[in-house]
Formats: sequence, C-alpha cells, structure tokens
Amino acid sequence: MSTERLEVHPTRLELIALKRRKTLAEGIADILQKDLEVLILSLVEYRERASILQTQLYDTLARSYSQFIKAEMVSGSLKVKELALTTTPIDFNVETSTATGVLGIQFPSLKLIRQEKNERKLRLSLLDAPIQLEEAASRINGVMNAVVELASLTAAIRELLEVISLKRRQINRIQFKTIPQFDKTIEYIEYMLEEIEQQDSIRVRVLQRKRKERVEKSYENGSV
Amino acid sequence: MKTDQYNTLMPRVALEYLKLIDSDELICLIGENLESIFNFLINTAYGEEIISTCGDIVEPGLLEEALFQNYAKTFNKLLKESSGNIKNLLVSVLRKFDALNLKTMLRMVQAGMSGEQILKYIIPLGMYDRKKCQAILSDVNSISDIIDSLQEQDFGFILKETLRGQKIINALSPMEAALDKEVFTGILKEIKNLDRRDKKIATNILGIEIDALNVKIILKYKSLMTDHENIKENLMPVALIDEKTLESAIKEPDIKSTLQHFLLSVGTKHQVYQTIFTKLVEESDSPTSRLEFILEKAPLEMSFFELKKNMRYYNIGYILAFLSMKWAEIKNLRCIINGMARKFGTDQIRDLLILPENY
Repeated sequence: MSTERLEVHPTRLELIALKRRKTLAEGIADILQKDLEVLILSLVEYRERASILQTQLYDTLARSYSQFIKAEMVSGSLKVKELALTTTPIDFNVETSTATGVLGIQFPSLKLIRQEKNERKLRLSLLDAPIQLEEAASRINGVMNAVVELASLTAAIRELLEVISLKRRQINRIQFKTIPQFDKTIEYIEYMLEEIEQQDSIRVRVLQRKRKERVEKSYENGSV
Repeated sequence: MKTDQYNTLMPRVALEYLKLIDSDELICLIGENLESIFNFLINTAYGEEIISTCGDIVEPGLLEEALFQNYAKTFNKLLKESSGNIKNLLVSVLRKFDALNLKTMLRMVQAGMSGEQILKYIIPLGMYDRKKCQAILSDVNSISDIIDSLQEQDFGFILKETLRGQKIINALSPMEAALDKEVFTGILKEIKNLDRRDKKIATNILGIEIDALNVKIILKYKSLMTDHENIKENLMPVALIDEKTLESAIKEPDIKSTLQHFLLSVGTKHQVYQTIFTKLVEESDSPTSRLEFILEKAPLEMSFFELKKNMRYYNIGYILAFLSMKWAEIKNLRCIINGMARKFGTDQIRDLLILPENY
C-alpha cells in the first residue's frame, strides 16, 4: 500500500511539529491497544456467561419439550392442543434501558416485567390437563428471566463487538496510515532540508570563490 | 343375582375381550414408524375405524380419533346388549365423556374459538357427539349461551347453579369440577342400585378411579400451588377414601407425609389400595408425573384383582374390567403413536405404558 505524504512546507518548524504529531499518534495507538485488550477480556467474560446461561436454558427447554411430548403421549395430541389453545397467556413485558459497562460504554439492558405476581397457580385445567403439561409450562415460565438475561447479554456482546471493531479500525488507521504518512512526510522534509542545505553550501562555496577571485583581481589591478 | 341380565351381554364382552391386543404385540410396536403401526392396526379390531377416518393419511390426530371411534363402537355394542341396572351403570360411566366434551366446548368458547374449530376437538364418545355439539354451538358466543342451551338437558341445571354461585364470573374451574362431580355422583348412585356382590365389585373398580382422581388432585395442588384453600371445592365424591381422610391428607405439609397418611388410613381396607399406596410412598420423592402414573394404573390393577377374586362368569367385574383394559389399550396405543411421531426414546415410551404390574 503506497502512502501519500502530507502537503506541508518542507521547513524545520514543520518537521518538529510532525515529529510531535507522530509521537502523539503512537501514544494514542498505544492507549487504543490497551482499550482493545480490556474490551476483548470483557467480551470473553460476557461470552462465557452467555454460554453458561445458554446451556442452562437449552437444557431446561429440552426437558420442558420432553415433558410436553410426554403430556401428548399421556393425554393425546388433541387434548394438549385444546388445552394450549384455551389457556390464558402469561402477561409480561420487556423493559429496555441502558447500563454503563466497561470503559463507560452504554449497553442495552433488558428487564422482564411480569404483570401478575410471581405466585404458583394452576394455569391449565385441574382435572383434564396432564401434570407433565403443567410442569412443562411452569418450567418455561420460570425460564423467561433467563431468556431475557441471555438477550441482554447477547445485545451487550453485539455492542462490544461493534466497539472492538471500531477501536481496531482506529488502531489500524493510526498504525498503517497516519504514522507511515508522518514518516514519509518527515523523510521528505528531511530530504528537502538536506537538499537545501547542500545547495546553500554550494552557493556559499561559489560565492566564496567569486569573492576570492574578485579580491585577487582587485589586488592584481592595484599592483599593476 | 339376575343372571338373565348377563345372558346376552357376557358373550359380547367375551368376544370383545378376544379382540384386545396382546401386551407383547403392543410392546413390539414401540420403535416402529407410524406406517408400520398403521399397518398393524388395520389388521386389528381398529381396522374399520382407521380406514374410514384416516384413509391414506397416517397422522397421530386421525389415528387417535379412530381409536376413540372404536371405543365408542364397542361401548355402544355393550350398551345394546345390556339391560336394567347394568345398562344404567354403563350409561353413567359413558357420561364421563359427555362431561369431557362439554368442558372442551366451555373452554374453547371462552377462548373465542369458532364452532367449526371446536368440533375438531370433540371426542366421538357419549351423548355429546359432533352432531349434537354442532347444534349447541350453532348460536353461542359465551359460556352463558352454552349453559342456556343445555337448560333442558342433564348438565344444564348443575352448570346454571354453579354459574350463579361462583365468585369469579365465567371462571371455568368450578364449572369443570361441578361437571365431574355430577358424573361421579351419578356413577356411585347407579352402583348402589346393583345387586350386593356386583355393588361391591363395581364400588371397588369404579371407586378406585374416583379415589385415585382425588389423590391426584391433592398431589397436583401440593406440587404446583401454594394456596391450598380451594382443594376441597375441587374434590370428587368419595368412594373408599372418605372425606375425613382426604381432609387430614390436605393438611399434611408435604407429598411424602400425605401419601403416608393415605397408606395408614386406607392401606388396611383393601389389598390393591395397600399395594398402590405402598408404591406411592416408596416413590414419593419422584416427580409428581410418576406418582400420577402409578395412580393412573390403579383401576387396571383393581380390575385384575377383581377378575382373579370373582372367577364366576356372571358378574359386573368382568364387564368393568374389560372396559378398563380397553381404555388402557387405547391410551397405550395413543402413547406409542404420539411417542413415535415425535421420535421419542423407546425406553421412555415403554415407561409410560399402562401395563399389568407383573408384566
């Protein structure tokens, strides 16, 4: 990748300013790298928590599904379907807000709001519903908090990934664009300054020679 | 004993006994796919209903309906051949399915389902067949409408009384309990009209079903709910386990002590009760579904006990035991069909089959 140098005047003042900017850019890249490491650590922690929760959730859901099939086997698919269609749905809502997380990042936070009190009561017919169906329904009802927590964690992971990606882009920009650009410009200014210096020294030498010649000439004329 | 009442009925029952599927054949169906189960059932007593209901479609819901149709056909054959008090008892037993269909209608109307949708869930058994249900559902929008349309019929009065007396308007639970209570009161009433020996046998076979239902209700309350105030309102009329025993069992703090209380109270009254409650106490730490399953097997166990005890041909035990076995067979087939349709584990399906204890 070719790097374009900055459009600057090749002066010593610019050179000093550029060198200062380069040091600053390196410092920023260093800070960003540290932030990135913290974010990756945080991501790993969130991922682990989400993974544990996901395993627990899948396990509970698998057991609930197994109970559901047992209910179908015991009472018949028609009865289970009938009971499912006629039961009162659980009334709940999900409240969304933001919470400050690692490096002050605002993570979306989800909270389950149950309309009813969290008391245990029968939702299905006492005499006709098989206990397996009641157990499966109760298990799924109990796991709703975990579902919302997992959703919250997933949203936080997504947010973290976005921030990590942004930080990495910033670091890359500094490391592979800004600093090389500074380097090239510094190199150019140094080259130009060197060139100017050489030209100046030649000019001085020429002038010196001419002055010397003029002195010699005037001396010869005076002596004549 | 009025043996003439049995003259035509018993050969029919004996014939139907022969049509029952052998337990070994039933076990062999576990692990087979639905097509194979379908092909097997076509060659059994269920063949006619399966062909007419399913046609070429092999689907658990349709197979289930065909099984019910066969049970209805068998029950109707028995009703046709029976007379007098035995017929009255059989009619009262059949009313269990009337209550079941009525409860389905009440639930689904409350959930706002259309009449056409509701009819899909009506079991083709008892007085409330699809035709009658269609007539009831033709012009109803609420539970009150259904109850009003039943006014002239049997359950209308009891439902109207319950609706009038209940605290929460349109709460289904009290109405469902009232319907079941009415059915079981009717069965117990009809049992009282039987001859002395038949009365004892019928009390044992049908009574254990009612008792098991009461125990199941108590266990369900104890395992799923914290509020035990309404248990008594939902209990059925009592058979061998009296009200006092039920009341003190409700007061017990946990499931184990409840079952121990039952064992102490009724264990000495009947051998089958003792066996069942001993097993329940032993497995009291198991999930409630397991305890319910043990109770589910109780009527079948009692039927086998009564069959062994009363070897003589002319008694109600033979008929009631057949009905228990036929119903258990239908439940087992349904269990296998639904289990295999969902590709459930064969061991788990086997565990849910209602088979004789020493099978």
